Amino acid sequence: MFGLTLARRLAEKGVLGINRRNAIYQLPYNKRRFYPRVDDKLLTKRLAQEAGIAVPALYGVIEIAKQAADIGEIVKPYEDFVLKPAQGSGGDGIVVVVGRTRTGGYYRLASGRLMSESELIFHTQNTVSGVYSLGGQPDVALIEYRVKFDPVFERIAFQGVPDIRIIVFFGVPVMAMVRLPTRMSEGRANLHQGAIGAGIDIATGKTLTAVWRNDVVTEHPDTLNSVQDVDIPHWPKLLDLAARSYELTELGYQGIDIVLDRDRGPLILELNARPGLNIQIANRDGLEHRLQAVLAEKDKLDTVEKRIAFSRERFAHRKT
Amino acid sequence: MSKKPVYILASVLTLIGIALYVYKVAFLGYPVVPQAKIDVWEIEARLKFTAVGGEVKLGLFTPPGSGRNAILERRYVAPGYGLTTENDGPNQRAVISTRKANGAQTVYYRISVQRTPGAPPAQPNLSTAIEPPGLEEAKLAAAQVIVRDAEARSADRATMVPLIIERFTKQPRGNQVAVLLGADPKPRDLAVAIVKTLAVANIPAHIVNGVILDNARRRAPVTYWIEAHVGDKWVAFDLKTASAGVSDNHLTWWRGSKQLTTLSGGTDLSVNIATNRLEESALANLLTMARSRRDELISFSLYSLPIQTQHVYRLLVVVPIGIFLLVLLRNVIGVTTLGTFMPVLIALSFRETQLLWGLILFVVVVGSGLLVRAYFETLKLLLVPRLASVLICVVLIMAILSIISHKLGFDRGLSVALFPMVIMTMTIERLSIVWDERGAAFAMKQAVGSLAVAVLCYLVMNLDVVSHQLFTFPELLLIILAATILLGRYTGYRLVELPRFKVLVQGRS
Repeated sequence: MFGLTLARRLAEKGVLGINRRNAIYQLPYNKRRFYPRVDDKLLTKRLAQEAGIAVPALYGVIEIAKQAADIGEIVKPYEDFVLKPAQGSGGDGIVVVVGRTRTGGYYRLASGRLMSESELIFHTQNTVSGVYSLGGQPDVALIEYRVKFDPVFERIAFQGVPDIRIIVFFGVPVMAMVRLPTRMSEGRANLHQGAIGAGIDIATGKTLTAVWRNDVVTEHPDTLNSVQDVDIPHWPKLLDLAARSYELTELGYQGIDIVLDRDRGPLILELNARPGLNIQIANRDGLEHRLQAVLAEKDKLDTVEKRIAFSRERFAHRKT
Repeated sequence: MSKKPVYILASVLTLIGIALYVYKVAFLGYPVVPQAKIDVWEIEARLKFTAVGGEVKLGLFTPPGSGRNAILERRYVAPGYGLTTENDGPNQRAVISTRKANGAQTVYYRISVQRTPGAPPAQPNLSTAIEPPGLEEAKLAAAQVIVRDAEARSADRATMVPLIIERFTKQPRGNQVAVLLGADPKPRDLAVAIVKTLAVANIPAHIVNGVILDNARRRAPVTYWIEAHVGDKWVAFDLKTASAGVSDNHLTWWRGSKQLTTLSGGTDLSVNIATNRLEESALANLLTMARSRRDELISFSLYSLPIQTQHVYRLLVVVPIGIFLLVLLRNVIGVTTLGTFMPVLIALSFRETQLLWGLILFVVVVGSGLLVRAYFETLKLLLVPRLASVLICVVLIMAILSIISHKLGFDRGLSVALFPMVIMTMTIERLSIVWDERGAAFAMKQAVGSLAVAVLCYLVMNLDVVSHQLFTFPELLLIILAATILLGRYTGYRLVELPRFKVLVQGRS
């Protein structure tokens, strides 16, 4: 009965499984009618802008297939931009344009591939018809500012887009990690595709040990630099963004994805009503105890400041 | 969030389910397991017609029963009608009549038949007088040629009859037979022509009309064979094999060339005969007794439905088992599948084709569908027209598969046409979308996972015990519902999460 012993030890550690996350936290505390606030990135962006929360600037929106032909016109003033489906999931359908070729008018993508304008239009049409949206419903395509990554991560990320994921429960940041792309993940920040996940000490903003695949690692497999004890810049600002996201969406349990821009600082990339559970592996700790601690005192935590203070005090990393 | 209401609801449902089950088993004597089968069949004739507003008289021949096929019970469902029986020559006829009827009318006649294979066939009490064949000149001449020919090649009547039948059934048909049968003969015309030819040869003979009890059928056709008087007794001759004796499974309904029904005072009469094999004798006897006692509680069972509806419910009652299994696999084991209930639907379609063929057909059709789709991708078609084009190709692929397998002599391939179209369509559509969004490897993983779950569901849903239990005791569905509701509040780990999170409780490495 090894499986039962393992399950019991995981439960003692407070490790949260999918069933438990759905039944105990997500279903009761996330109201269905607020889901569009995170599932529709256009709506998220508008809400964030109204609340004065920093997000990548919106260049344009394409709502019907016929408008796709105008995309060249919309992006003309910008050297680089990102095209993404408003209701996409898991990073599907996102095109990152970093520049243009001098001749021929091709777009140069982050991956190095060249894309002609007609290919870009076709991709946009597909996006609008719902190829990348949850459930295949018609969608809209957003064109927005391309984040210039803060050089702090250059030493510990292989190409691609490192981002910081914070789980927020009733406005209290409960757990955080930074996701670092590797050669194996082909520049993507998804852990199951081979990115590294490094836990972050909420109190100090320093990275803890990291997890790559199912192994604990201390250095980046491609750059060989240590991923431990790295200071995350703007950490207080990041906690502030995370804590404020509760007022933005009114979802009790959510994940917030933040990127660090070289010029504009932390920007909210997206919010997620069903954040994954891998963050527990990266932090080598379970979520359950922390969530219960918030639940016990949530009525007292009525301001952003109190919530952050609670979080830094209670969820500081303890050496074991 | 309290789990209490969930537990209460689940216990109440379980208690009701168990109480009904125990009551039916202990007090009403329902059999718990399918028992050794003795052959009991339920045969139902449904007669529909439109009454014109006045007196209606509907006559229906009824099976006489014999040592081979003993009639256990006869039942008429004809509200507002009176019933008399009469003899018409060798046959029995039930006459259902009413003074006044208007509009659409439906009358059921049901019998249960117990088959005893190997018992001697019944001897009809029939005169051996020969009815004049009444053939016109050209046909008479043709019949005489056939008879002379058979006479020359046979020793007596017993050997002559098969020779004559053979002339009619052998392909290609000779000239004389063609003259006698005319263009496009129906099976009944064949029997009529043979009887007339035998009359020319001075051999007393008549048509026997019946049904074959081989499979449960929603629309059983009337089958014809003949009986000829040879060697001082009546001998049945099978028209397919042109030899003496018919197989045990032929149920004699009526003899002679008259129609099954007569109707006055109505129009548009249609007759449908359905056959169903009852699972076991104990149950059949129980139900027969319950009907005669008019026991309401027993008659409140799926067995009381018309046979056609019973067939549908035999399928429907096992669906919840498959769905429960799916919930278990998804929420407790953590298998990823294509769409929520798709595997159960695939499993249902396997029931039409059998497992191995079902798997092969599924993989071939879905695989070719995906290849076609991959090509359409390069044409840069927009989403909806692309899905529609794939669908059209799937229909073509299925048609081609059926033709090829028929030509190769695999009749199983034909059942692909019955393979529910909607299920194929939805599978390809979902698989394509997953392929689009997550890549080929993920799509394959989901497809294989779904197929594995479908096979498992099929195996469980196809167990005789499962289908018997659920059809005989539909209250078991309440227990399945209770278990499913409980699973809805299962908040433990999924099995696949254990290795995933194992690193969290292991010492630092």
